[in-house]
Amino acid sequence: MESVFSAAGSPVATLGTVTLMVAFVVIAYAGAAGIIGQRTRRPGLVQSSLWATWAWTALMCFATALIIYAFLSHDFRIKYVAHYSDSTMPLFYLLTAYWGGLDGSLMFWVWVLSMFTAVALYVNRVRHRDMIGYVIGTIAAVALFFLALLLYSKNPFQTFLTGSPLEGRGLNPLLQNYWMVIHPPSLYVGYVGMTIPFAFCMGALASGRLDDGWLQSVRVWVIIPWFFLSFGLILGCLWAYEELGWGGYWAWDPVENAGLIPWFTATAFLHSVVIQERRGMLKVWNVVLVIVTFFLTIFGTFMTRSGIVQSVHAFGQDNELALLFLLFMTAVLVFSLGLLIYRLPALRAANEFESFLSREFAFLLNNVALFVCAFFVLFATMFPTLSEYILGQRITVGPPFFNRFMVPIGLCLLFLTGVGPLLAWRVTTARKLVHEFLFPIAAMVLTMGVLAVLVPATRLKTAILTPDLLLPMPLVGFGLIAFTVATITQEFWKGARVRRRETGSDPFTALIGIVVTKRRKYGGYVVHFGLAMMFFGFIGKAYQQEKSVTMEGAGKKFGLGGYTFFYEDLQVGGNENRDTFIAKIRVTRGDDVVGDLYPGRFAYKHGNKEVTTEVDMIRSMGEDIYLVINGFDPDTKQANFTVYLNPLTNFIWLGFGFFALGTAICLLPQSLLSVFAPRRRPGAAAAATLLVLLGCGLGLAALSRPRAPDFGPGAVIVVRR
Amino acid sequence: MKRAWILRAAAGGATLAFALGVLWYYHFRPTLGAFVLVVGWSVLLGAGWLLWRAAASFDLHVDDPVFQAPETVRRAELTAEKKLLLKAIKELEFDKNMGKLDDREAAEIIGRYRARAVEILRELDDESGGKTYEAIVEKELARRLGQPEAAPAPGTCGACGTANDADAVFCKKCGKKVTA
Repeated sequence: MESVFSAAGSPVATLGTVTLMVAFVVIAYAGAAGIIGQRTRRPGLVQSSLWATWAWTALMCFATALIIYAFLSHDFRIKYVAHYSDSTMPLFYLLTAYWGGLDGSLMFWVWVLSMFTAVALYVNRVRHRDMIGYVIGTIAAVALFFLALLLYSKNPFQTFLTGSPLEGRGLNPLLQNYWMVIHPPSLYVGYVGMTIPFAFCMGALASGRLDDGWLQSVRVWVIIPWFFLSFGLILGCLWAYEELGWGGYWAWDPVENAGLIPWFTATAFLHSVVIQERRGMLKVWNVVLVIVTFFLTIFGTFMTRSGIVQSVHAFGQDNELALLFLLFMTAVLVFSLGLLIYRLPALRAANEFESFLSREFAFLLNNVALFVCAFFVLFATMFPTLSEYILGQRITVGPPFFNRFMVPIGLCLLFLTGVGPLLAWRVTTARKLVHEFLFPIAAMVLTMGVLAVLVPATRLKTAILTPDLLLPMPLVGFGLIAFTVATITQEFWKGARVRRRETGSDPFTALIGIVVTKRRKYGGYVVHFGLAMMFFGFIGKAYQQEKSVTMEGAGKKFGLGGYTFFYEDLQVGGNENRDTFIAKIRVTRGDDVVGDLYPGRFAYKHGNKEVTTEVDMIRSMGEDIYLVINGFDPDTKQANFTVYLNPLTNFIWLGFGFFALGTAICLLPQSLLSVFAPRRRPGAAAAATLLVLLGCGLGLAALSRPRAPDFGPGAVIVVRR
Repeated sequence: MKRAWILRAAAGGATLAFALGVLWYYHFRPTLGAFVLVVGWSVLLGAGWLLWRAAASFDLHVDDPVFQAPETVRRAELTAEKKLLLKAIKELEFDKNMGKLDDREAAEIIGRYRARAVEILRELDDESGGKTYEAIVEKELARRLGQPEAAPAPGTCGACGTANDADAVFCKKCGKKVTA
């Protein structure tokens, strides 16, 4: 595409840099005016800072439009465009190359923050007029740090000092995958969105408005980024599963862990906030969780971008950036914890724990378990780096180490997921305890008994805590899933029965009625159901079967798990962008043809001339037949394959569909439920609709199976026989 | 009003002129690049307008007596706690109906919550002695109109000034007969 700007140099780059500079000045003014206006009680100044913040959002949108235009017009005078795109890249990947590199991803970070800020301030500008100036001030401080980074050393509009290349290097082929296109922005939205609750928390601490008002407003602004964090993580799993070709979806990669750590603390907050609302307890803890979650999102960004950890998709070593991030994180901790200590006397609890058999105590245990998860994963992720600094030698810890600890903690969390709803607030009497637990415990015992007798494989023992402690964790897992699902079923059943008594409606209407009137509670149960389903999928990993074979030529066959794999052919093709080598394997079971698989290898001609593995699989709810071609000789058609049989994996993606549905129910605003009522919370309404669409889309996409080999546009296939 | 319409028309005209310019450059073939440029230009105009609004609303005057006043803060805290208690009572009743709480337990906790709610309602009534936005607006209106302050609302206690229901015979705070 020809550029509108054809002058020497790049006017787009100049305009982009100037826009970032103006945005820096504008948000600096907004932050200062907000804080001064709030402190000195000058509403005019606070109002001015609000308008300035929205102007900053518009300026960031303009900068985004400019970088996208630069990609579309192949303006290779701009370094970032030359490094992450080329003229043969499809339009979709050209657009998403915006966040494909470090500089662009930082600008994308600021742009997403500006969008979140604009909506959050619009929704809360009246309700929280007594703290909005401090909120703007906090957001401005975060934005200024990232804008300063952009302007100082990571400007995506930077141009080549000498002659610019005629062709770009192109985006890393591994990133040219549809899941990878939406995975990073989803994680960014999760990361960035956590700035909003942090800003409101700082606003509440600075203004002394420490009642539950800020907490109620902030809840939605935690749920939205928390969901996107979850969505980003699950997309990362899908990407790893489909693109990397090692048969799994999660290997405790440091960059993925960076997203998981704040997810744990945000989840803890979503639970502990309920205790503060219901019992006026854990006020300090909630503030700590908001601060820690925000800190961990910045820490995650730091881990991903500074190169302190080694990962399949970190951005590389950058000591200067690491130092700047460390300074910023120190400032965040000192400022936020200082403010918290200053306000400690005003954050006293209104009540105390009265019994261990209470819902609030179950929630507290859940918080402790989630916090342990967060800090265990953080410690284990940083362990290689720490060991290098302390011992002078890099000691790595692999997935088995993580699994030994995370499996029991995860199952404890699953158990608490089932226990929490059964307990009453304050105290549960022994009689009520028996009454409530009877059905879920019976379901658990029955499931474990039946599985242990009828499906001996479920008695498989796996190591927990130490390599020598072997326990039948899959069986325990299935039992706890049954316990949790039984609890949820019982809650829906009893709730609907009460609703029927109160309203006299039919069972179905009563069921919808309780979900609609108690959206947070029952939406939460749907999320828990989704999680139980995902655990079902995770347990399937224990039964994975794997086999690597070398076929001397086409026409040979091998078997695994009752399936026979016929190696029929190796097809060689390609286009101007890459050479493609695709094998055809027919899968049969007995006399039935299960399907054809086309695993391949793509050799890219541009950039770093990478060779990628193209997985193919036959999906089903029972198991995925997952095939990879590791190496081949195109002349003799000798090829090496690895086949994996992955049981229950699709329950993870399906479970996430329920997870998204439950989140959408929690976010449904009252106004959406009454058709003719005016919309009072556009942010939540839009988010809820988006979540429903995302859930449906992801579910459909995950279960669809492309059957024809993808040779790329304009491919010429040469079949050698 | 007229000025606002002129500004809107000017912004619309500028966007249209820019869009036509870009389309002319692309020989009137609508491409994604052209679309991005037009959207970018519109956003830039929007940024200009927002900056103008920021400058126009810049005002160093301190004119909001209720802004962050301790009474306002306390009032908001009480209102929030009241809402919380009412919600908790509703939730407890639901839990009782679901069988998670005995009638006796539920009655005891609900009774305690109700007592606290009544305390809060009383404190809120006491707080509204001319410190709310409504009272300040009324006072300011009366001053500007040059009229004496409005007569106390029906039900206001002559002895302690508590606002009772309009048809109240006795004051809910001090118990004296309502004369207003």
